[in-house]
Amino acid sequence: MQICSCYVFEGISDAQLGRLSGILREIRVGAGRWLFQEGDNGEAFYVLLEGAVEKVTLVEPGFELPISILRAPGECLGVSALVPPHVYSLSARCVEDSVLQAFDRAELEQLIRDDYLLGFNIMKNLAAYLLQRLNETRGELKVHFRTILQFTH
Amino acid sequence: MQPKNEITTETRDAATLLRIKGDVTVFSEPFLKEAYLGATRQGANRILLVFDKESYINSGGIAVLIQILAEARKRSQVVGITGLSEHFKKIFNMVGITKFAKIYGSVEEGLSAMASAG
Repeated sequence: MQICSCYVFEGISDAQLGRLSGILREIRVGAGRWLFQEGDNGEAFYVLLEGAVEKVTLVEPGFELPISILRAPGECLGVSALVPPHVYSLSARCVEDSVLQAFDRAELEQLIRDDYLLGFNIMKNLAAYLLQRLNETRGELKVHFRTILQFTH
Repeated sequence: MQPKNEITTETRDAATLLRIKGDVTVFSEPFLKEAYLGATRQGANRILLVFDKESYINSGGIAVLIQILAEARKRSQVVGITGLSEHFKKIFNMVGITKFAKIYGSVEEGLSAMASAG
């Protein structure tokens, strides 16, 4: 099975991609079903092939804050599984019938133990993505504070 | 690459419609602010934000909208919102955006209600 191109695997050699394709599973998840929930143990990370998945975080019981929607093939989710403490930091729900490639954390860790350069590339790509997300979150905080200043000044 | 929002401005029945295409996130801030301030400079005191039903509005987009609504309130502008999916109507209600702007089922409903609001 061919791996869907995604940012996590950017710069990885064909041989490494070949080994990764040996551990991937294709899964189908129906619309409305949760892929994983915030706080669950991160046992796998996923690459979207078809469909759409929404990421949300629970603010308080009954109120989910929308974080993003993934629609394009190659978009990744569940990357918290790759980083200690390996706990999903958001919940992911399919908003359409979706097809995803799943990479089991334990199997991926074994591949990385056998090939540290693979691990280095994956973590480098992940760090770049997480920095982008951090900058976006900071931007959001600034917007909130500008609003607060409108009320306090 | 951050996505751009396409926002078109239209005047109807003494209200200014801002039609917003694309997902709304923190990166939408410059586009939304420019459109809002442009309408304000033209003297708009009734503004109807028209979203695309397919648009996804995340936490950052909600923050940007609240910022604009706060500014509009300071200027005593009346703001309405329409075009939201049921999912986002529920979220907007939960975060209290409805305290700043009424949510309407259609552009016509919004224009009619805002016209009689004075």
